[in-house]
Amino acid sequence: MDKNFNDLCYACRIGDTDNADRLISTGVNLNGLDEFDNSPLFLASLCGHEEVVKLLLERGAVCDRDRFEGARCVYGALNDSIRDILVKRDISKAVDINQPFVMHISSLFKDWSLNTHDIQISPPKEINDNGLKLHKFLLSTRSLKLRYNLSTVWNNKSKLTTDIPTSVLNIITKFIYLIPVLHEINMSDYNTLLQISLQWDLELLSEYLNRLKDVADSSEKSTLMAEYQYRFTEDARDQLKRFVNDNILKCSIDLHSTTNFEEGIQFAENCVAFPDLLLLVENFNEDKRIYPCHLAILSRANYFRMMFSLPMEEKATYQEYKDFKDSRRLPLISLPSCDFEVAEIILRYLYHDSSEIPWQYAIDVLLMADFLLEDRMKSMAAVVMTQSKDFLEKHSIFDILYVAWETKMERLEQFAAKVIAFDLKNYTKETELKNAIIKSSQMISVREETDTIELVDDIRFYLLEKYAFEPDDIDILSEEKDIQLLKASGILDYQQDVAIIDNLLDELTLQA
Amino acid sequence: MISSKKAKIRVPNRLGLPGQNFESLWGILKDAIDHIYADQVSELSFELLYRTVYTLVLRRKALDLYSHLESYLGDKLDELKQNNLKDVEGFELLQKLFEIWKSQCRCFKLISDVMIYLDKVYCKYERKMETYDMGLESFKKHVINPIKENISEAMLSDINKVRSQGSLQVPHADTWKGIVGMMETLEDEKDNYFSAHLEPVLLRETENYYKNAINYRELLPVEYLETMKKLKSYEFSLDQKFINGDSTVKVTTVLESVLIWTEQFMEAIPILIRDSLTNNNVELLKELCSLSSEEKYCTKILDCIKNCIWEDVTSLSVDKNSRRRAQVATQWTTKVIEIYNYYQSLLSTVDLHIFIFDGQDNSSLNLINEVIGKYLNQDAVQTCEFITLHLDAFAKSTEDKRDINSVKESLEDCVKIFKLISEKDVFENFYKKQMSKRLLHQRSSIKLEKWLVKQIKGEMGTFFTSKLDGMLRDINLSAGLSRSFKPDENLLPDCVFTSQILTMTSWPFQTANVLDENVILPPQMRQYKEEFEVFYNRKYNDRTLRWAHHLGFMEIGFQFKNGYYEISMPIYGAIVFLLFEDHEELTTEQISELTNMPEQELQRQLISLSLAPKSRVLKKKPLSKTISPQDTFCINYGFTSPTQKVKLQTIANITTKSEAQSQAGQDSLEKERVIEVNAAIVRIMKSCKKSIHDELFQQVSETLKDRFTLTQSVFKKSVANLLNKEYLQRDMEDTNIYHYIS
Repeated sequence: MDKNFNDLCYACRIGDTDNADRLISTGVNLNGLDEFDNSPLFLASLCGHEEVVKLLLERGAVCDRDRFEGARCVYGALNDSIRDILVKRDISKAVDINQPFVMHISSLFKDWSLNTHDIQISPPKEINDNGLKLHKFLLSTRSLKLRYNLSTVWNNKSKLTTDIPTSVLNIITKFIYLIPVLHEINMSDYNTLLQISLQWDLELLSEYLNRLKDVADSSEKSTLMAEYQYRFTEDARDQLKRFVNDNILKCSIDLHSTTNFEEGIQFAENCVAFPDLLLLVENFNEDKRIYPCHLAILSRANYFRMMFSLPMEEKATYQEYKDFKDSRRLPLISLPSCDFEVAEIILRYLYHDSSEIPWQYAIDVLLMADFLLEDRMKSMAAVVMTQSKDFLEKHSIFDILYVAWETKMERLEQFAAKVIAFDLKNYTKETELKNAIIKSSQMISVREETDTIELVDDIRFYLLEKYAFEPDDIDILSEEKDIQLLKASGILDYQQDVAIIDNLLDELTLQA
Repeated sequence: MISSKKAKIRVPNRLGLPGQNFESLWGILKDAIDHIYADQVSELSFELLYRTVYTLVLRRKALDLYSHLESYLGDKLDELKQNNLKDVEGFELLQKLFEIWKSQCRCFKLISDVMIYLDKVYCKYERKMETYDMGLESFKKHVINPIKENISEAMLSDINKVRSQGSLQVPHADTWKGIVGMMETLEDEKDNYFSAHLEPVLLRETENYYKNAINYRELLPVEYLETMKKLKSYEFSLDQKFINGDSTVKVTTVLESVLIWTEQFMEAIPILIRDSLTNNNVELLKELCSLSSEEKYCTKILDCIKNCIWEDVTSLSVDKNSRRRAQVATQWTTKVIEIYNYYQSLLSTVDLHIFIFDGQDNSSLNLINEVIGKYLNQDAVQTCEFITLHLDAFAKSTEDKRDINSVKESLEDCVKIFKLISEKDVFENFYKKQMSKRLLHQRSSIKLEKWLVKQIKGEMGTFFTSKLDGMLRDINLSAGLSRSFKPDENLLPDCVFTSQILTMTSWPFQTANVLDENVILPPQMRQYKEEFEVFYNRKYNDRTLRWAHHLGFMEIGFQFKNGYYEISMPIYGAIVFLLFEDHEELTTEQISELTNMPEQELQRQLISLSLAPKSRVLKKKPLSKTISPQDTFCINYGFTSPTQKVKLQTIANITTKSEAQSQAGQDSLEKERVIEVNAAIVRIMKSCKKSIHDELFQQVSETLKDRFTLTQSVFKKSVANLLNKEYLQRDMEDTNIYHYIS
């Protein structure tokens, strides 16, 4: 955890938005301080990385001008545009933390387009009213009490009535769905709310309510809200993480040739995951494993959303299941063949934004994310590939390059070019470099009208960086005669490297 | 060292479907498309289709897939067209086409959803149309293009059918709208298909339809207008049912031009305008103006209005030979003002957008000013004379302290027209003359004169009225002086003496024979004169006082046989009349001796005293029409008059005076103009030192345009003048250039 925080601070310094995004999703404390008492937001602000500042604020970094840390961010801002962003982010307004998984879960509260809810809760008098359309798996994840109820007294029920007042029920369910709701709490509901939150084991909510009693100052109240909103998010992340581990991954069924498929289904039925989809994964050894899943969550990936939005077979099957509630009819969908680990990484990501991708699986995750049309996951996988030291030990840089082309990941293309440039002499020995250059040049006719080879351009660019030159320096130094100075500047090495590239191009009779 | 570490093979192919060649994979997709077309979508598996597309793209078959898809869609569309649209025409064609379009859009959407990976990875990076757009494009190519003429024809014949019914209950409109919407969705080069293909036809057909639809020739202008309005509003409501706002505007424009720019309507416009203007028919005028906002049309309307005003003013008759010039002038001026006010109030009620186009200020007031100004300046001298005469009459008639305010309004109207005169110095000349007479003879109220001068000043600036102000000042000062002048009471106990001290430069008399120092005054008068000179010199001892007897007048009370009359007459006449205090009878020669008056002046006075019909206070023997040296004169005791006060009219100069005077007037006018031009040239040259003839002319006429229109002849005269006086010098090389010599 500590390492992640330090990495985050570093990403904030250098302005690596993708990596910062990935690290934030590991659940680090965004408002923590490093050994010099700097917050990530302060670092990004000081170093002038506007995109990172925006990202941090979106994900819940606090910038309270009335406090030392916040004021420091504002005064330290490198430029006016960043300062404006910080100033505009008024702490007293409703906090909308935009952790991507939080946003998705919040959207489920109102978005019924995929018909994913499986339980309705309404007050007794309005029994005809549809009440709130909710998801069992989420209720059981967020509240131990509800989990207990769902597997005992509420077992197999799809409609419930409750005598909780509507306004309180609304707030509680919104809280469960991670919708920022603290600003909506009406003091007249306070007591009931506190009572229900205790009864339903919503510890953080009751803790907040108890502390709220002692706070009168509105600014202090805002700070308290911001703090708790952040804690709610992290709490939910942990809960979901446990849920995925205990109720999905551990409940997966291995289909050996000996195991009966029906039996497996039975097992899924009994676990408390309340799945509405079964995800079939086959690895390269042709082992098959089935994960109990939820369309509500899988639909985060565009691929699944489309699959169940279009009026095709999958949608019909899903609807059939919903209508008959027959677990033997649970829709079964499959992923392309991949290691189980890859599928699990994907699931963790979809359920709770987990960005922990072991480097060994990064390429596979990248390709799978590409297949699933899930761009954010793609860039996270790419970040892992560029950050990991071990990765290059196992993979050829050209593999990375080709994958980059395959998946259109610019970050990886540049990374490959950089690696090649920094170790040019060794790579020249490999014939694969020539192949790569030829491939890159063949992309010209279709990609760009201009007469350049992107790979060569990128390598040349990173050669400059390698010897710490600005483009102008080359011109200036080319008129320099002093050998000592030339040697010291590194220009000679640079020229050697450039010559290598030129020779290669000559050999290939390419112009660039 | 690195080459050894290729621990992993590249992964991509693993995610795709194993085995299977392009043909079998394409077969899966083709089958899916068939299902989509057969509306059996629910039998398809997205998972399978997506992975098929994904596999094909991974295997670098995207281009093949794309072109297969394109041609297969083409086949599908051809088939559809063949089965549904062949031999169909009219509204049925439109209806079927619209149905096909709606179902095709659904198909394309589903296909593009299945092809999303192709869109995302292949089309985006290869800059190809996404599959949905490609579908639309194919639809255009295979379905619409081959029958686009049929569509246009079907559409327009259907529309024309409705037009001929004149009904706004259009059950087909939704289909039309659908077809138009379809075409607007389809792209065609830079524009959409509708504006590229159907819209031009629509506009052309609309034009044809309305050209032939109604026989306008049989309609009266007003009926024509009515019909036109009806058609326009009908077409507008019809258009709104199926085309967008922009196209509606275009159709309206076409319609306007068809209906408006016909020979008949062009002939009708002047008649309608005339009608509306003559009958003060604001509604009709408004309607005419609102028919079109095209500039050409606005200009046309404006021209018609101008014509009408022009006709109205030029039809005013002026009896140039009338003796009662003042009356003619008043009549004429009143008429002009009437017309002016009439049009002003009429046109100001119409909110005329037509007045504003092309950035020009075409306000209705400017329009009227332009036309009437043109008329007034046709004969500027006469205009000035008439206006001043009119003012004169007004000023005189308000002498008897009638409420000035009531007069003011009509005088303000005069000022309005006065503004339009380009040769304002002519006006000034006339006005000055008449005003001086009024002032000297106290024929008008000073208050009114002051007010009038103020009005002119407001219009023209202080400079223009400096002389008029000077005159008024003189009159004011004189009144003060007269009051403080207290001559010896014993001198002439029953005599009142009023002096008017005139500053020479302010008054328009310099050129006339100033005075006759030699005239012998009666002794009393001489005494008054001397006393006053002493008094005046005491007050302003460095001023030269000269007497202008010919401007003064005298009122003499006399007991005739039939009554006591107070006769007011010019000083010269009075001098002659007073002679008869001491003499019973005098011959012309004797009078001449006693008064030392120049012969001509004497003749004039004698004719006035003895021959003028209403004021014959002297008797002449013999009773002839001319004055000869031997004629004798005596008091005509039998003089009678209806009023106690009698004003003795001095006849005009005996020589054909008016001609000479106007000639002299012209000359002096030109002289004055030359002087002003001189001043202007010098002012300009002083600052720029060097100038070209034409440029200088421009600048000078610009500075003087408030006073008069500069003519080349005056300008040349002035330049010659200045060259002579060595203010200017011609350039040695280019005679067109002048240099200023300081």
